[in-house]
Amino acid sequence: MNTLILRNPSDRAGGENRRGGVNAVVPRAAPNERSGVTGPTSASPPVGHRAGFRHPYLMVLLCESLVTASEVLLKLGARETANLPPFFPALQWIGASGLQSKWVWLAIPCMIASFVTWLWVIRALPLNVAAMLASVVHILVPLSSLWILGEHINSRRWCGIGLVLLGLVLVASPRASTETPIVPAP
Amino acid sequence: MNLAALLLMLLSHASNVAGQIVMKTALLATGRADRVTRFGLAIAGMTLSFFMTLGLLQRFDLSFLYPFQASGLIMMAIGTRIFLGEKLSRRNLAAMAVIVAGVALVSTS
Repeated sequence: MNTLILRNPSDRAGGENRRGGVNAVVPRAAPNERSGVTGPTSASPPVGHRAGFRHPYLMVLLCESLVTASEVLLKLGARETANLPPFFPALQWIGASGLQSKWVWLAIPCMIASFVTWLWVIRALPLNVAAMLASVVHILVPLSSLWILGEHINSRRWCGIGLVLLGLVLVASPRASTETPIVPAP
Repeated sequence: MNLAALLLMLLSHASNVAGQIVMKTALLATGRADRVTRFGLAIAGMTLSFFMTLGLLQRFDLSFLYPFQASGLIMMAIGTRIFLGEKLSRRNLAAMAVIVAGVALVSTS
């Protein structure tokens, strides 16, 4: 939740690869391959490694699993504290009473870890690709709600979730640029 | 779900988006004092969003609330268009329409 802007294709962090299309999915192996990059993004962070568990795709999965975990933990905390009197009676809509639950405090490190992992991911992958892969969180969260939290998800809600997912994939797909290209076409 | 809850939900995402946009302007700011102020405002916006989300989670299912997060993406696209001058393509607008339809469907579930 706190990493929204970084997932947005409008962020410039991944702009250099916007034209990469499907080929850009393959993470580049060595920093010296970036030597041809020009423009404002030439000072971009180094490219990640492809091997082992640090493969960017696995890192995306790890990141989104952490996001899912934090959401589920927040919900567990919120559920536990839902009937407690609010910290600030005048501001009942602020869920500060949730801080009394250990689940909420467990959720916070997960959020921070997901943020750090996300930063790692967008160093290694073009942002549009990363954002598209990150949409998997909109599958993981409902499934976790179903299996871990025992929520009932009716068919209408599933359809809505599917449409949101479709929209997110459309937004994140390489052709849908929300900014002007930084690097001129070759 | 009532209108107040819907507004609260949108406000929660709006404050997060505002925080993110201010964070971006903080990164672009040149003066140290200006940057620190903007950074503080950004953190405040995101913190407010966190507590509002927590408050909403105390009342609604996670599977119900989570799809609304995509509405933040739409606010982000509009916000960055207005405040940062970033462009929106037709395809983005079409994707937004699909997201809005999805969120509307979830909100009536």
